[in-house]
Amino acid sequence: MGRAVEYLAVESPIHRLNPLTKLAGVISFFTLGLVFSNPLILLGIMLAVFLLYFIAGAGRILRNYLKPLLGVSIFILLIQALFSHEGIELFRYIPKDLPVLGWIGAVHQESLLLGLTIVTRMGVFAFSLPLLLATTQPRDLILGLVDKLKFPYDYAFMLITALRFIPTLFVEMDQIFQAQSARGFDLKAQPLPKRIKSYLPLVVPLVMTALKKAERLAVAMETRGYGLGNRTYLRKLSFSADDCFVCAGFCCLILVGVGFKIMYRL
Amino acid sequence: MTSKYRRPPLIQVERLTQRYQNAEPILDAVDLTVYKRDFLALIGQNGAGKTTLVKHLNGLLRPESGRIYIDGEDIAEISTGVLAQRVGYVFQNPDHQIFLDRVDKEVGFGPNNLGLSPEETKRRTENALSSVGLSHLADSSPHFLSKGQRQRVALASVLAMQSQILILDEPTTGQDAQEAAEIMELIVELNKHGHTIIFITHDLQLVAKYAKRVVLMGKGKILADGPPKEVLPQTDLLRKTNLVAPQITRLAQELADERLPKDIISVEEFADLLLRRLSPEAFLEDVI
Repeated sequence: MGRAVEYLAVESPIHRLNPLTKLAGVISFFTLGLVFSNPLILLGIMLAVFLLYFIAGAGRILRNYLKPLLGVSIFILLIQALFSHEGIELFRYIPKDLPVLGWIGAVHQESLLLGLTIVTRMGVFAFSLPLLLATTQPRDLILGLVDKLKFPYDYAFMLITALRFIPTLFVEMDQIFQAQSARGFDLKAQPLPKRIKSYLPLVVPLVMTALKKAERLAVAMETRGYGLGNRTYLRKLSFSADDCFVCAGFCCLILVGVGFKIMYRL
Repeated sequence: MTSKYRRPPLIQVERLTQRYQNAEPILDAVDLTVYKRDFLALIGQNGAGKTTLVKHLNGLLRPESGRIYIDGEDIAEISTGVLAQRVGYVFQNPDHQIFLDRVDKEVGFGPNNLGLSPEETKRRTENALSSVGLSHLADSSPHFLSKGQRQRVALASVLAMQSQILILDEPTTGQDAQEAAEIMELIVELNKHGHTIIFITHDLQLVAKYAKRVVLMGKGKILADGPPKEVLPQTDLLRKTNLVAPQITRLAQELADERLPKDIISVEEFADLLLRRLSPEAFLEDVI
């Protein structure tokens, strides 16, 4: 799962775009996701995002995300179908006159539509951000945020470092699990009441390792002059014609979307 | 492999193949037999498959194809937790294991997992700690010990399980010369007491000094298997896997004197031979 937030080093038109453009893209998708409530439109937006994944050569990452999201979606739809009763009845599976069960016995239209809206909106949000992370090197993202947007360097660095260490910590976790298994530690054999405490042999080494890494990182940064003041940057990000085109595209999309929404009360 | 007497095989690895994510196989149909009370050094370049191979012996990894037998039993269906009783694995990084606030509790973790009584656990803990020379630190917090001391805590933790087979991944890395010698002496003692030892190392001087059997691996295959005197002098083979033979071996071979045997692997041996060659009798032999 740590691979989901990793940068995928591939050549693609999306990789070549300025990181700020891609960030604007994510914000645009979020906005569109909020503006529309029609599940069909939201599905269309989600499929557009999928298309972008393929253009970016990041199909593998998309697949990693699909399964868990599908699971959550089915769960949400099930809850809506069973326990929410708005609108007209579509399908009744338990006769109405049954004393208690008759109440939950039917799937209603509005509830189902709400469920679909929730699910597709979640899809738009959940899929757009990893695309940014897969096509943008973390240092370029910081560069874009700090240099052009005057974002405070410390916060940008914190964000990127946290993302960068997620895969590392997953690897550590794996090694810790192997080391403890070699001492006879069996997670599945622990009785249920002691389950949480039994995670200690895995959690403590991981936390200790993470803290030690953080300490070493801090020392390394300080000895290389971190925090001295205004820093300069080796690379400069530029905006190409493609970036202007894409940004303009997103602006139009949002304006058109809002316009349609107002006009047709979608 | 020469064996003077037939010993029953303890571990049998048959055509073990393993690969990570459809790349080149890390292990390519590897066959290996380990005998009881073997003292085996596993050497080879980084990525040759040494760690991957030994991780199959306690079930941390399961083969893509091939079989592993311990004591004649196929271990495919046996869980890692149960195998830990027979195969102890000391990892290279002690910080991946240490999680308790006292050294003695840490060492007792393994025996507790095996379901032993508190008295037995206490006994084994004391034995293990005295073996590694840390009895005086039994109630200290492992987190505040030096790296070398933490490594010994990790070693003690595995010793307390009293497994027949001991696998040590780079046991002397990060130890100073004296500490390294002490650890190797301890391992020799354990071998004398009947334990079967497999250790992975990059230190060929160590291998020359202590190992009774050397297995050289390269690119997922076993390239050589025999006593140190047989394997270590094969400098060309070693160089193919980015390994460098012990200094004294290379010196002896560079001297290219027919009177010097080709399989020198220790300084003592070399000095001995030189002294004999430099004796008056030998000098006369050459002249006359």
